[in-house]
Amino acid sequence: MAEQRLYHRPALTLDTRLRRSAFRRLYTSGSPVSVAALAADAGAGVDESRATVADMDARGVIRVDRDGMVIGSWGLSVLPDRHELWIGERRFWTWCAMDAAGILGALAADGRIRSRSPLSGATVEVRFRAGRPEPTAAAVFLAERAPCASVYEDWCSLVNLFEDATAAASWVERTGSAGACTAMDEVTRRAAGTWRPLVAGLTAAERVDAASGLTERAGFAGSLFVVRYLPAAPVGLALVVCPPILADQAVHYRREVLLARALGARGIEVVRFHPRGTGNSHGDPLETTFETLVADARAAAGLVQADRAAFLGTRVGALVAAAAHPGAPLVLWDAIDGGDFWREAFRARRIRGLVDGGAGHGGSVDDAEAQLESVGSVDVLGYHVGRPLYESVRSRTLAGELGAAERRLLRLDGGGRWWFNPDPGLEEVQHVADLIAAWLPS
Amino acid sequence: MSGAQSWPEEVVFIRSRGSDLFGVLTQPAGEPEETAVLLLSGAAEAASFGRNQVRARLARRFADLGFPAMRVDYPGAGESTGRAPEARLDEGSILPLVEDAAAVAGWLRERGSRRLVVAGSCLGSRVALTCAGRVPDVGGLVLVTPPVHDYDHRRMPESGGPQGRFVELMRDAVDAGLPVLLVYGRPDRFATDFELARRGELGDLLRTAGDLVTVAMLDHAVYDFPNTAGQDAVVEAAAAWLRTHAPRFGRSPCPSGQEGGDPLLRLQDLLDG
Repeated sequence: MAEQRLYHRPALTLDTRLRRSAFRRLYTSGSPVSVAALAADAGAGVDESRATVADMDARGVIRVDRDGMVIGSWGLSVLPDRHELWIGERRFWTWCAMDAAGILGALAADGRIRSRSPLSGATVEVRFRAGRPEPTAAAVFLAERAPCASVYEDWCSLVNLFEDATAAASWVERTGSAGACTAMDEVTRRAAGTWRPLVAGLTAAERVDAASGLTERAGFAGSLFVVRYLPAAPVGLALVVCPPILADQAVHYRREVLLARALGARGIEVVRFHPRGTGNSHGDPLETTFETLVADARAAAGLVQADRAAFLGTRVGALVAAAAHPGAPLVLWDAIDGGDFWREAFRARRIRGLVDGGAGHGGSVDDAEAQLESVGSVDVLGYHVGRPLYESVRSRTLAGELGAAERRLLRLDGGGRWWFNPDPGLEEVQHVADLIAAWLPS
Repeated sequence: MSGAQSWPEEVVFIRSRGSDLFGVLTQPAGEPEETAVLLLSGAAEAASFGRNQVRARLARRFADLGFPAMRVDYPGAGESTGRAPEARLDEGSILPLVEDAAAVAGWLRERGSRRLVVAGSCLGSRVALTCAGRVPDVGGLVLVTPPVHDYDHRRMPESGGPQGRFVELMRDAVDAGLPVLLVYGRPDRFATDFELARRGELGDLLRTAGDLVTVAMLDHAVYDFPNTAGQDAVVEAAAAWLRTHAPRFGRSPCPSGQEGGDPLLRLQDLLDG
């Protein structure tokens, strides 16, 4: 069965999932987080999660307040602790000096660490730019690893920031602590690797177009890959782009990127996304359904800043766009009904099979449907198609998704020219952008 | 933007030759290996995640093995800016893409990677092969359906022996001691071309290289990843090779004075008890 060959990541242990989720939520919100929220993230029961969190609290690898709220994880604390950590203009605390350096390093962020030297009590501050410490004499004492009852109490408390290596050496001599004094840049470089997996996706990549001033922000919203186009001079209108599926997504991909940039340059905010299980997004393609496509479109629409939003959908994406927000203005591009879409797709699959002569395709439409019935999935031009997607799209029609409610529509039919030209010229895209920009405000 | 992902992934724009190259770095859940993998797509692909997310799956599979993996859209493709490359394999067409790969390698180096495996398909495999000796710290190559011709996609030649620089580039890689994985799909014409080339100079080179060069001839078509079975087979072949050959990529030496063991505690080990 095709789905048995899909690769799924080995599951992380529950305590790792809970700690990871706690770190990310603490960083994102800056506030204590409930165990129930962590349990939901980890896909575990609340009682089981509560017991696991209590055990981790006892071992000093997570911190919980009197109300049972998690206040610290993976060294990051949202309540005052030993070391003050500024990430940009946001203030946190950390359990040890290495935590602070590692977090700033992993985020590649500007910020600073403020701490007190255990030797003199003097305030020691280290400033960071783009995740790297500015030149400093300050050094970190790294205690040797040894079995301990509580990481927070027994180990983190020893890993401190000193004004310089000499001060650290004096403190070591006085206390007899075992470990090594390490320069700030070296600690940062190496500790950053520990926190990178934790912070991945917490920050978006950003580029600003020199000519138009358009800001393009790409990143993840949960498991969805999303790109937002934020104009320098917004006109208060937005467009949510619902992409087509399977091979259509690749065919129309570049056109949607260029169109988003062209509209952004005209002051229109644009949000593009990859539905779960496709493109750069996460998720299992065999669990995709028409309903998940619509839910993902709505999630993307939730990121819109402008007061008014329209939707654009291409091919099956047009049905998704129509269903995402009844009544919203709609741009339909090469829209196709679900039944026609599958007939086209299965026909293309058969033709490919005949041309390739055994390259893994072939069979009639009936064969494909029989395989979906018996196996639960079928390969359509190199894409995993699960029965839930097939069945949930098959009976959808544009008329059905539009419903009886009145709404504004702009219909574009690119036809074969687009199909065979996945890398459209800028001129064509600019023309469509002009059409949409003129139509949207009215 | 924040939230749960199955794999930790970071999105970046990297400046190269006047374009903003879009990339996604997939990180291992634990402490990463010092070797990162750079994934390069074929010319016909709309974006670096590949058909049916095959390259995203490769990156995530590699990350599970401990290797950070970066997939990058070529200029003019996917989310990148700039002009799309010509799908040609002559040096003049390939070298600008090698320059882009070097920019990404530099970014990875700044993030702590000490060694790079470059893994490419079709056009990307020839870019990867050309990276050897030109991009610092390349320690291994994964080449999926590398054409033995320096073809121009507008005028594909009839099947035949190698034409152009393929054998020369392979020799450079072997001479440099780089472990290389060659992956072909038996039904593909590029596999036929490879088998023909093997009867000549290339065969001699592969025999000389011994276990430095691994050839995986898969039963499924692989060129342009036309079916899911072939995609899965490539992912598993590449992962198996990476796991087996990782010790040969070479690791950077310990900083002086630390030969007796790393005094910097691995926090994750500590937390995991």
